[in-house]
Amino acid sequence: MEPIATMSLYKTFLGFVESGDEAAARAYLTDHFAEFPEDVQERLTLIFFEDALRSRAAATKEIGRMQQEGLQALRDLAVEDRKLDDQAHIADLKKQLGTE
Amino acid sequence: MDILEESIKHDKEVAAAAAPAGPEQPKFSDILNKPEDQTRFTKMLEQGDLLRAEGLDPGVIIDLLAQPETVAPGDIAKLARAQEIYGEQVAHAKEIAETVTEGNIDDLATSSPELQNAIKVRGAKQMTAFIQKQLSELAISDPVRFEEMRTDQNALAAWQATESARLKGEFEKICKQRHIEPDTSTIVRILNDPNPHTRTQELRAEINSQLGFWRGLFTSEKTFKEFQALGGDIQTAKTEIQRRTEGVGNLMGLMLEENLEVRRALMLEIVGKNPERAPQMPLKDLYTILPTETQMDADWQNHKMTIRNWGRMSEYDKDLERAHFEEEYQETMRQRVAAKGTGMWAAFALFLFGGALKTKRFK
Repeated sequence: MEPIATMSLYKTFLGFVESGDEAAARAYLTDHFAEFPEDVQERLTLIFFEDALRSRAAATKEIGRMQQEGLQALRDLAVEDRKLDDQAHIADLKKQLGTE
Repeated sequence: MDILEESIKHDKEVAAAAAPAGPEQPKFSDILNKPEDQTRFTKMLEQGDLLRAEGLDPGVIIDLLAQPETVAPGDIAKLARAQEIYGEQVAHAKEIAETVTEGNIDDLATSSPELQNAIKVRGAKQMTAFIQKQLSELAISDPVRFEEMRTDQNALAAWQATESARLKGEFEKICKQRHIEPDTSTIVRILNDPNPHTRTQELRAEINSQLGFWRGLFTSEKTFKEFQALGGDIQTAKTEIQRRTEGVGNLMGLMLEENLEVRRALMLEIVGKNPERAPQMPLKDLYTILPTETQMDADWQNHKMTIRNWGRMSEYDKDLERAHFEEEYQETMRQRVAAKGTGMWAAFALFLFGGALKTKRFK
């Protein structure tokens, strides 16, 4: 298979730029990756890697924040649960003492 | 070059004492004798940003290297510093490159469907080699972009080295104390679906459902006061606490899941809805920047009109003029794109523009 010439790829890319259709541009790069010249594949790989790293860093930051939030929620829920147990215990004692 | 190398050797102790502690530096003779390093070192001098950031004038260094036999003793330190800057940058690139292996590239690709596909097409070994090679180039040719990547990489490494294990440990401790067992039955059932399409859909739906529960829990202002409001009916309040504990526990369990398919879906759902995601320049912003081939020709013709005696120039001089125009054209484009933003589309556009420019033969 003949590799897609760089100028031809540039012109195709300009078409996506004009339409602003990022999903279509991503699909094109994915579907035709094997047809690009080796140097384009190399540079594209680095760009994909960079994009993956940026997304992963953003997701990790968000997941970390959510995990902190989750741990705090579990601690708070445990405190509330203990308060309810205490309330139930007090209610039981009052009942036993006939002071309710 | 012998005099220069001898002088550098002589001054090495002084320069080393002044330099901050860091990775072992390559010898100047190594840089200058290895074609790959020599090319990169020259590129660093031409690009100039790394040297300017350290208060060095790239032009001065280029001049010194052009006439090494006349280098004054006072200039040796400048050369030594340029050598160190190069060495540091190569070492930074190596550090990141070492974190990308055949064994973990699939994991990183969970954050990029495009990278996943590229791995399918060329294999993990080839992709790893591509990335490692390109990182060394990028560190020199585009230090700003490289630094952004390094910051992301360092943040991830720090997270994996400390925070991740700490949060997991704390969660396991609370699970033990509170007898929480994350319910993974739905996820396990979905992962057993042999149809990849429905499996992905169901996985995303399940994750979305759990995220919805989670967000509902944390956006409710009365969350914890509710239990007290339930007042006399303690059992109802305890049931509600149990329901919420299980819901939070399930998503916490999911966030610690090591299955790549689950992580990929979770990352996509979370990143897709994360307003703090690093802003990237949208594709459409390049519309007024990138020239068509016709525009490139027109820009060349306009430039040519400013050259005196074009008609009488030799082919050699004309080629020099063409090279000069292409260099300036690329720099102008780099500045215009940089003014709009960064990201995947910006990087790809500049690369393609440069490639397209190289295939042109301006007349």
